[in-house]
Amino acid sequence: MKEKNVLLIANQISKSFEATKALDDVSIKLLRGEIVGLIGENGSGKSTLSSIISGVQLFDHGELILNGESYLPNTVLDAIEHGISMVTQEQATFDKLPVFANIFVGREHLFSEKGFLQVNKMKREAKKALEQIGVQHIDPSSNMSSLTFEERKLAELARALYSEPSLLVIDETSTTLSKTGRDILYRLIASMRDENKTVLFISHDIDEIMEVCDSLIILRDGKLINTLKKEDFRPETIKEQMIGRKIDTDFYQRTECIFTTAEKMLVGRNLSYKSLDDINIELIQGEILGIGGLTDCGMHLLGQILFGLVRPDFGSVTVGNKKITTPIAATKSSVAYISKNRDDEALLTLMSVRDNICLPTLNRLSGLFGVISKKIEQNFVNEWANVLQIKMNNMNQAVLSLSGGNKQKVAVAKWLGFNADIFLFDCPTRGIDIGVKASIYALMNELKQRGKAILMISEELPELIGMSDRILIMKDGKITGDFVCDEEISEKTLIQYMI
Amino acid sequence: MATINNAIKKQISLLMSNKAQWIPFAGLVIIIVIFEVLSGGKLFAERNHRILIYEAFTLVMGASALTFVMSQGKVDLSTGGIVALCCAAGATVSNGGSPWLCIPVALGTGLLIGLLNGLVAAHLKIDSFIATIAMSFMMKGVVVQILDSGSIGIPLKMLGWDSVALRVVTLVIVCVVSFLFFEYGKIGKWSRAVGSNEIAAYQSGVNVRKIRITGFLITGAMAGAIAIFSILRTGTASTSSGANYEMDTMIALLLGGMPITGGPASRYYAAVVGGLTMTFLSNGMTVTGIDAYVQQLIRGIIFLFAVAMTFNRKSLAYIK
Repeated sequence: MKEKNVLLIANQISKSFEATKALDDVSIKLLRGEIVGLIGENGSGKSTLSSIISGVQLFDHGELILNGESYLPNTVLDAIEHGISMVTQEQATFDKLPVFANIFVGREHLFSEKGFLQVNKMKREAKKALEQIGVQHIDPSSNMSSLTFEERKLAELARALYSEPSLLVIDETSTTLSKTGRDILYRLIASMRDENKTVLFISHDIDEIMEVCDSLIILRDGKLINTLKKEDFRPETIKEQMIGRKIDTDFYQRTECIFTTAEKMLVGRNLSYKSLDDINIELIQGEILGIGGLTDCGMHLLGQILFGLVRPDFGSVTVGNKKITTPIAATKSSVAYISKNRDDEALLTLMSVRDNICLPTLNRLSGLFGVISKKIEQNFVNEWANVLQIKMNNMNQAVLSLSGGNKQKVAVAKWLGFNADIFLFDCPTRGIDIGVKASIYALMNELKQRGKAILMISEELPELIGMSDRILIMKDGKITGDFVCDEEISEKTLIQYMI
Repeated sequence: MATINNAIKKQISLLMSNKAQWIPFAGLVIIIVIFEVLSGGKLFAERNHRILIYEAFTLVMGASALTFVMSQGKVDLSTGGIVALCCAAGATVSNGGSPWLCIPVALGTGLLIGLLNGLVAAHLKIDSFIATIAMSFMMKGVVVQILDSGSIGIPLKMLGWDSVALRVVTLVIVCVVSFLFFEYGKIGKWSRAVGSNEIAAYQSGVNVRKIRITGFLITGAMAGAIAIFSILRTGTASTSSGANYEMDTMIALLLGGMPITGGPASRYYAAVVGGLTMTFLSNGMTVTGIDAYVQQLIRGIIFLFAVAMTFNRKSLAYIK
């Protein structure tokens, strides 16, 4: 059985989260001395697969074989002991701890003497670890929070490589790095290959994957679609297999803005808070205003401020002549907000579809003494569940048991039923499969036709370009680009303003 | 045969998966049967009827009010202290002015302390467990100050106000109103939503602070009402008025199937079923002649059992 060149085999791995199958019977093989690309859309299962390999979570079915032996990592540290390290997509550092403590987190025992930590030794080793990856300018004693996003990622990289892993998993790290940062990353990856080690490189940037990787694994909807060798890389084929059909040019159905009065629905003036610096923003009736940038650019925070969840240090948010200072004030002014963190913040997942849809509108639905008739409630829920075509067994089903797309529909339904005029969507299609994505886009266009104003915060450039009437690009808490979408805007142009 | 066996197994597993729903009812029946047998029929003897009704009155009313707080995932451990304070305040004014003053003063005092509890919980963000225990200490301190001679009697004619009929009518009204408000009213739906996921409720435009304060206003006002009936029954306000009220109502509610974490599984019947179970349990132990110290031991065990039974471990990751 034991093949010489094989490092890791994943055999028929499956993993489900409640009703959603994140991975369905996926089998892959990672060879030594190879940079393997892993590509797929959001929700295709690439992060799930990489987190299983690196010990973040366990799989439900299947088996992992590492160096010919069964491999069942219980924790990240367990995986590190087996020679598998990971650099994650999200920021995975402790901001309030110094850099050296971050680099050796979980491995402090290496520096322990009679129960005391040898801090100076840690600092020296941390400096060495950073120098090894070609980073000279980071002081190991400085606090993580004083570092830029890129420097933090480099520190994470130093942490991952310190244990000299035989497999390094890199989860969509490069998109957040500058040219210099990327060069460091690519150089490290190449030197790992030279040492006959393996890199699993996750990205959804096809150009990058084609450049860097020796072979490629394509996932879609939790299933393994194909594995390709470098000589078979063709951008059209990869794209098609990622998405599952020929690229349809009107997948994003941007419609013309039919309201020409340009009435300002929501206005943010001189907003400053933490990294946000003097942001001015106007949302106009009947438009979709896209906001893009890197995760850390402050756009998600801006969404929270516009809904009154976070009170800015300076500046104000107004709808008409009313100030928005709390979500209660926001909803009174017909502002709706759907958090990026849908399951924890936008929905009460343990409660029923009915309770979720009615929640913002209870005041209007209730009659004498604040008591609500069951019939009125049911009609209301049926009406909006039908408008959005929510797939459910019945309205008393817990939201938890719905798929990602249907959950998002419930979140939209509750605000449509509430009759909101201004919609603040933070990553509206995050973790939603492609079929439902299209219906969410269609819905946004319908809202637009009805004269609603929509703010769409998104980390996905194709979505921003495809759906928005205007796009604002943010970087480090400032708006760096302002585009009207009547000309051809390419992702490349936008990225220049993001990084 | 095999298919029948499977069918039975399926039914049993279905029953087990819904155990939080039927165990409280089964528990009530078992407690009644056990103590009716152990006491040799004394539990339902005629001279025990009045006592049962009086105990059920206090427990079911208290648990009904507490439903609105516990469904939010909070507790109110100050209610015993509030009862004592309302008793002291009510008894004092009934001697000073008109006896009728006792009613608005006791209810008003209860509302005021409830408001304080609510403000502390909603604005200072101190967890209700700590905040209401602290409040309870303060109440007891104030009560000792008011009752420096140990107790205050009330005008004799007030003793005539109390009757079984009044209690039954009051109890039925409270149960019906609580049921409607909790199961079909905005306040009940909001309470469950806040208990299920406070952040998501807030982001849906729910005025979380207002709901929190309302919950404590309800338990405070109910403690005021219980205080009125308490002084009517005993004729005095003393430092021991309302003793154990906060724990007994909480255990009752848990025995009725209210999850200690609150949220979507909160149902009003828990107050009635649990209140009755607790009544038959404590009265049953007394008529059976169980020693008072052993009764405490049994109560402690029952408390643990009730929490363990209603605590939904599976969804804990989601409730937090």
